[in-house]
Amino acid sequence: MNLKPLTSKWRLALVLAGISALMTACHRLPPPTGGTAAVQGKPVPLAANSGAAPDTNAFAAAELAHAKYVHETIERLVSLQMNDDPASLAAILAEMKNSDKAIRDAALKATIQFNDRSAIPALQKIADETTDPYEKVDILKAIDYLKLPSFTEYMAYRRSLKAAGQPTNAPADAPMSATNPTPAAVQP
Amino acid sequence: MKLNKIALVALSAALAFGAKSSTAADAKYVGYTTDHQSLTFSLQLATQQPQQYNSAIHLWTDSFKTVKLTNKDILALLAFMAQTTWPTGAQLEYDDESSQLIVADKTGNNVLFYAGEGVDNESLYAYLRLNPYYREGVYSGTQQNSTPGSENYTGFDVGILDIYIDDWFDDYANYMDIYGYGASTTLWSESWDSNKANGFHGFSFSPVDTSSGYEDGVVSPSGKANNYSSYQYLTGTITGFESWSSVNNPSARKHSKSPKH
Repeated sequence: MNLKPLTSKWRLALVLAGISALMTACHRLPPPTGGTAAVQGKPVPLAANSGAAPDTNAFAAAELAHAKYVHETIERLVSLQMNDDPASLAAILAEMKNSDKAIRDAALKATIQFNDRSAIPALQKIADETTDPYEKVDILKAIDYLKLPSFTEYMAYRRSLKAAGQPTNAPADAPMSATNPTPAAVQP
Repeated sequence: MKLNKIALVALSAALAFGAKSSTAADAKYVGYTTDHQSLTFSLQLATQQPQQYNSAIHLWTDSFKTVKLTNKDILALLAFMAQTTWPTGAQLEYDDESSQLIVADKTGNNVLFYAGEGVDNESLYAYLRLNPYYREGVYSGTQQNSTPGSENYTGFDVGILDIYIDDWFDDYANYMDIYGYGASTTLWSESWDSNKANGFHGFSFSPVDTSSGYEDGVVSPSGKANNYSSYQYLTGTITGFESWSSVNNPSARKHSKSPKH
């Protein structure tokens, strides 16, 4: 039995696990992503258990490295979503094609928070290409949400009407006027 | 205190003692927090529209219009309340120390505005009150008080979202009155050994409101718009989340706070 390759693998696994454990300890876990927060935020198990088999440690190291990548990517998306430039939106949409579902979910939420209707064609294209029916529905719901005017736009519109002396709304019990020609008493 | 937050404390201290930063130089901090959840707003607000009447066929038509409220909208709303503009990277948080929504700078720790306290002066009375733990309900979970140990809880509470703007200084151009209750699911999880403690907590709150807004109704012959109530319908979700991974002694861990704080 040749023990040399096994020993090297063991050392490599230990080194990787140690580095990953250290990095994990120094970084926060993934930020919020709505309903899946509990899954994504699940505490990462400590890696460097000396009693574990080498293959297990190597797997744990890879898992931790991936968790760190996911965490950093999601943090970047959360940061990008507050920008207003096309480059930031493009970077967010690019992550919609990431192979990691947690990142795709975070990218979709970041797209919603970015709040720019110019994202809709790209989202529609991704929805058309998505084979996961649940993910497709989530994207289509996001498109519907993005199509809505924003509250900020609505308030600006309301202020503009007011500045022009126009009514911003007229409820059903409003008195007779040019915009509401029948008294409330005879309305259905 | 979490390791990354210790680093932020040190960074903030450095900034306070003269280190130059465009954000720090421009921003006026009103407080400091190390215990906060990042917030994500995904709400929809429907507002009843003026009733339309077609006199030719005697048809009355009622309708509503819906707008979305995301973090950017809430930040813009709070900027109006505070009569300011936020520095780049400003973010919404639920401050577990003061139990209210805050606007923090990009570090997340320097408080720019306490939205729950809001503004109350001669020209403006406004606030945004968020409490995902407004009325506590049932909860389930386990607590292993040993080392290593862990704690995991899920709670089912009622939250409240209350946004009010009474802006007489600009003739109520931004008047608002939203008051929503709803289910709030809270999560708490932490595990620790003799060297480390990892954990997260958060909530998902779905406020619903049918209260009346305040709109300009009809322009009178004098040109002055009259104010009327109109119905609103608020739906959607607000989520909060915080996680940590530290090398603190378990005695300093936050689990003593428990989900039922």
